[in-house]
Order: sequence, then structure tokens, then C-alpha cells
Amino acid sequence: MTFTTQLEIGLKLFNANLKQAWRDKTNWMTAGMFAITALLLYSFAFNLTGGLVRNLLPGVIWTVFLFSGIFATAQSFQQDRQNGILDALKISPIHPMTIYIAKTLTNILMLLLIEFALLLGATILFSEPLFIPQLLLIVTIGTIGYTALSTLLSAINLDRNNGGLLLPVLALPLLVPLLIASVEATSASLQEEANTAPWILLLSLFTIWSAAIATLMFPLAD
Amino acid sequence: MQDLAIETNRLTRRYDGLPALNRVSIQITSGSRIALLGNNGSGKTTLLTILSTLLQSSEGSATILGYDVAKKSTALRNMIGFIRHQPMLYENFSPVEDLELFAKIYRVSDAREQIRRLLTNVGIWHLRDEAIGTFSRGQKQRLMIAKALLHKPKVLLLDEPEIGLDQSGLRVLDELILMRKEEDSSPITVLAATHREERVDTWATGFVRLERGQIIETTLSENTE
Amino acid sequence: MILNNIYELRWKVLPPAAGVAMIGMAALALITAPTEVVEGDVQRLLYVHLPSALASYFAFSVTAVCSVLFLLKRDFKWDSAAQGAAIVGLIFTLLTLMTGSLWGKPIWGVYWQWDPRITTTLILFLIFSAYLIARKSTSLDSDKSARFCSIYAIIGFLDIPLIHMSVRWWRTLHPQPIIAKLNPALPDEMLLVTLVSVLAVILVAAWFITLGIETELLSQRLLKLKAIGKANISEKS
Repeated sequence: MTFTTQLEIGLKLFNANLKQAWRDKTNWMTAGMFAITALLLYSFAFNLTGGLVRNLLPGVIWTVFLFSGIFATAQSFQQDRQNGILDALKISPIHPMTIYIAKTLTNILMLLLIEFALLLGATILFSEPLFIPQLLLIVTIGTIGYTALSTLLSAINLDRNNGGLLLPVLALPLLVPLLIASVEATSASLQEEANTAPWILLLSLFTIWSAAIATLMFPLAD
Repeated sequence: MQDLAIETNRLTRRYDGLPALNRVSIQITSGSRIALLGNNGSGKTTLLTILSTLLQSSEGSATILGYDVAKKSTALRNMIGFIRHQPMLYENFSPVEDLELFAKIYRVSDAREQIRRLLTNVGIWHLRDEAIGTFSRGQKQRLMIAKALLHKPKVLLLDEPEIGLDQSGLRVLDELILMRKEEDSSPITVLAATHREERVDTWATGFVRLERGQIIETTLSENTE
Repeated sequence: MILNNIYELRWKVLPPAAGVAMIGMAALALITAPTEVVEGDVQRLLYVHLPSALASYFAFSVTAVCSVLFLLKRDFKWDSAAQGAAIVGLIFTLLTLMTGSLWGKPIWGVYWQWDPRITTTLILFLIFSAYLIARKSTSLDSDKSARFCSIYAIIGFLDIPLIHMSVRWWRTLHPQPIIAKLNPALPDEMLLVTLVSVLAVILVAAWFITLGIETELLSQRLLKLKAIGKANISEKS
């Protein structure tokens, strides 16, 4: 099949994934709830008010995003697998890369919605300007990076019983560069004079790297 | 010699070292309707799943209409229709939404008309906008029949297609697949696993009986090497 | 094939070669090598430390290459080889971290420094531990698990340069206490000893890797034999 037909089918599939995610929100609601709760717990534990906020917020934000995001995406193929849809797609003439890209884009979009909402909430809670273009850019790049990897890992059901739980733990060591770059870029963007460019560069490098590897590897996972 | 639709050569699949399918060699000519018989755990599902390109064989090879199953080519996948034990449906979609997506994927022309015709034929046109998750098992199975026929496959692989079907459902299955009158010149080949042995005579042109992953009885010509 | 012929020689060549090299290394490192002026005898740990680090990279490369071969060929012997090499890699990573800590305490005053290389090694250890945990917690001949773990190993291996780069930036873009630059240039004699040690430890690692691979291949075979035995018993009953 040609590229344009794959693109067309991919868009249809993306659309279907979104529709499905929208109608059954359990997974995403859980991720959102987890994120909010974790954010509140952190703010109690660290007393996130006053001058301390700036130093701690980047770490708080990214551990919350990373954990809730990976737990949510770890389940992303789960529903398709239970419905049999993943198998139906696998035996269809659709290219495996198209299945992967459509699912990853869905995950990215859903996570960005949650993360932006959280940033808005945190802006109000901690009275720190978090909803700023630079930070939104960093969050977007970082989310694309880790979703690319965790969606790939979630495609293979390791074990019927604990596949969903094992995966997030396995994914984390691979995400060290992403975590460092995201946290540093975020904290730099909160400082007035600091320089975010090298961290955004590293973050972009990681994102391109993980997206490319994952897209190429997915057909082999089939 | 007639065209071969399905050919397997010493096809083997092991789980935890135990063979679920053990050196199975069959040849099925184009247009025949073969019943796949055997007790639970005899390897019927494993054989069908390998032929559907979903499962990798441990050893041996299989071809459908000349295409190697292990290569999983697009051309091959366009020609296979598969109904397995569990339904393969978007639970929170309506039948029309589900079929429209797959019509796009299989590049079915006149999709709208096809979907209407198939849903009417399987008798669930009146449920076309309901969520599939609310369907009974039999209704889902009817929808699966429609879905398997959507892209006009040349080879149909069915794993106990009777599951959940009532009397009228069974008639639908017979009319559309097992005993269907050929409309066009290209015949459809059916390989169906079933436990309803009393009905086999009414539709099958031959059978294969498996036990512990091996062929113990068959009307097909043995694959001689 | 030449590679196969070379591999056939593993029992004849590797153990004696590794043994001789190890004796040479011990003699050189403990007796011939001069005592370091500043650090004293503790410096001799580095003759184990550096070669171990190289050996672990060597072993993990074998894991990554075998994982690629498994994904391409779908032959379980490559999966076994990847696992066998990963175990050896983990052993040498642990050795690297331990010798590093023992050396660091008297020299730096602390066992652990968040130095780029140490941190990268630690993360490497985590990645391949995760790989082995995932692989060993699932059935040996499950091709799903083998595929997953191969992919994981490849990604993990390709992740190393990025991890190293990120950790290096993380440390250097921060203000940090200045650590005295040690061993700016090794004297000739120490260089010779280091080279012999690297050779010896790599030989030992290679031998261990073949042992590891052999073990994994045997457990694959055992699984098959057990299954055949089970099938025979159930047939008789």
C-alpha cells in the first residue's frame, strides 16, 4: 500500500482511537486523578508555598507527569487487546507502523490535555506562572518522548497477569535522559536569567531518538 | 491438478516446549469446505491462528493461495477472513462505526452499500447504531460474520463460528458461509473448526481430525514428500 | 563458516588463555606495578576497575547484537545468548561499581559521587537488571517475552550514549565541588599493567559469556526434554 493510503487509514484509526478514548474515559480519568492526588500530596509533604516552590516544582511536576503518563499508556493497548481489536488490526492489511503511530498520537493528545490542565491548576495553587509558552513547549516535547517509548513497550503483552504493572517499572530506567532534561529545562524556564536552550536540545534529541527507534521497532514486535 | 488454497508442511507450534501442533501437513484445494474436528486442546485453534498470520509457527511452513503465511504480506491479509473464539469488535462503537473503519482499512469500495447489505443479511440492521458492548454473544457473532465477509475474502478461517448463535443465527451462518451459493466465479475456501459433528455432513466437502496436535483422520490427500 | 569454527574452539582456547592472562595480571598489578605516590596501594584497584567496566560494555554489546539477531531470525538460540551475556555484564557492572566505591572512599572521602560515568554505569545496571527480571519472570520459550526483552535490550543499549550525555550535562551545568584531576597521564609502566589487565579481564569475560550462553542453551534443551517426558507420561496413562 502506498504512503497516502496508509496516512488516510492512519487518520481514520487515530480518529477511532480518540472516539474510543472519549467514550471510555476510565483510564484517563484514573491517570488525571492520580496526578492531582500526587500533586496535592507533594504540596503537603514539601509545603510548596513561598520561595521554596521554584526549586522543587520541576521535580514535582515531572515525577507526577511521568508516573501518571506511563501508568496510563501502559494500559493503552490493553483495551484493544481485550476487545480483540488489536488482533483484528494485526491481521488486516494495515501496516504495523500505522497502528503504532495512531495509538501513540492518541496517547500524546490525551496526556497533553491532562498535563496542561494540571499546569493550569498548579499555577493557581502555587501562584507561580506555570502556564507559559516555554514550559508548554517543554512539556509537549517531553511527553512525545516518553509516550513513544511506553506505547511501544505496552504493545507486547508480557504476561497476562502482571504485564500492565511490570511495564512502568521497566520503562523508567530508559527515561533517565528525559527526566534529567525535562526537569532541568523546566527549572531553567522558571528562572529569569537561566538558559533553557541546551536542555530543550537534549530533550528534543531524546524525543527524536525514542520516536524513531520505537517506530522502527514496532513492526518487529508484531 | 486443482489450485491449492491452503497448504501446510510439517507445521509445528510449541508452548512451554509442549507441541500444541505437531508436524501437521495438509493440502486444501481451492473452493473446498473443510471441517476441522477434534477435542478441546487438540490444536484446532493453534492451526487456525497460525494460518491467520497472528501466531508464529515454531517449525514448518504454511502457504495460503501461494503466499507464505510467515511473511504476513498485505496481499495475503486482504484475502483472509477470520472468525475466532472471541469477538474482535470495538465494544463502545456501533456496528456501522466498526465496519466503516474496517471497510476503510481493507479499502472496500461501495462500503456503505456493503455494510447495509451484510448487516441486513445477518439480521442486525435494526441494531446498527447501538453500542456493541450491549450486544448478546449471538448478536456479536452475527456481526463477526458480517465483518469477516466485508472485504470479500477468498479464504475463510472459522474457529467454532456457531458460538452463541440461535437457530436463525445458524441459518444465517449456513446461508452466508457454509452452504452459500457461489455468486461469482472465484470460489471461497472455508476451513472451519467445529464441535457440531452431526451437522458437518450437510456442508463440508471434507474433514481433518486432530488429536494432541496431530492428524489422526482425514479425507484430504496426504501431503507426501 | 569461520565464526562457527572459532566458536568451536572456545573450550580449548579461552580457559587456558584467560588463566595465563589472569596470572600475568595479578603478578604485574600486585608486584611489578609501582605504588602510586599520592594514592598508595589502593590505586591498584583500578587495574580491576577499568577492565571490568570495559568488560561489562563488551557483554552488553553482545546482548544487544544477539537481541537484534533474535528479532531478525526468530531463533531462540540468540535469545539464550543475549541472556547469558547479560548476566555476565551485570556481574562486571557490579564489580566496577564496588571497586570504584572502595577506591573512592579513601581518595574522595565518599563511597559514591554523582559523577557522569558512575551514574551511567548504575543506570546501565538498572536497565539490564530490568531486562533479566522481565525475561526470567516469563516462560523460556515464550516468543512474546523474548521479543519484548530483545526490544528492551536494544533500546537500553542505544540509550547509553544519551544517558551518558544527559548525566554529564546535568553535573557540569551545575556548580559542583572541584574534584582533583587524578591520573592525568599514566606513567608507561602503569599503562602496560593496565593494558595487560584489560586483556586478561576481557578474556575472562569472554569465557564467562560462553559459559552463560551454554547454560541458557542447556536450560532451553532441558525444557524441551521435560516436555517430551511429560508428553510420554500422559500418553502411557
